[in-house]
Amino acid sequence: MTKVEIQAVAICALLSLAVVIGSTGWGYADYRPLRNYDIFALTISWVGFVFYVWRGRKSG
Amino acid sequence: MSGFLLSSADTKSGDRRSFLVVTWLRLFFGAHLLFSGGRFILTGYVPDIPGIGGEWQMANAALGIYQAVKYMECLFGIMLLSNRFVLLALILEMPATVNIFWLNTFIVATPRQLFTGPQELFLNGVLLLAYSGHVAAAIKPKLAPLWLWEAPRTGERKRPDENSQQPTPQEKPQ
Repeated sequence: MTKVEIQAVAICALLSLAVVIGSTGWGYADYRPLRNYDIFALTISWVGFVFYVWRGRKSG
Repeated sequence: MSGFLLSSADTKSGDRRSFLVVTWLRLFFGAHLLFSGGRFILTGYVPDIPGIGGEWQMANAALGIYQAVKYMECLFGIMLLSNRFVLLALILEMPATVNIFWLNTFIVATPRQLFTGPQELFLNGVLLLAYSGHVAAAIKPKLAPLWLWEAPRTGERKRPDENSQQPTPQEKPQ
């Protein structure tokens, strides 16, 4: 991975962490498991992210 | 200006990083809307909101507004996921986003809603900002009328013979 892609992964990982904290209440409210709602959105966004990284490399 | 502060290599790297992060946000928000709207359409699920927020939600459902918003969320989710009419979807979703933000943050205001309300506004707001260069004329104080079908096409790939820049109608002397 290039430096730029690693930086983008780090930013998106922080955003994902914020989603997990918001959904589960981790550290600030009664804990509940991650909702299907958020699992679906996180899966789509990460699969799409990997696709765009792959496509960017392919096109050079 | 950016060329003055950054080398062309830095600008290209920044563009790529920004593109990847905005794409992640677009797909996340699109999937978020698709799930929310699709779940209502397929199962009729309505979240249980306590207090006056719940009464407001029930009133909206009685008027048919809640159902309309859910169908719109489903459509806007598809638009964001397919990367088609993204700016239009973000603009049209903004009123519902502001409602959700206000309801969660100031009316319901339970700890979890204090997180999810601003999260909704952040997602729609950042994405709208990321694409707002296409409607930059909105913040120009003085504009001449310009019909939608007469607008210059922006944000599209240029042909090699389109290098000469023509002044846009709002830049013409009045």
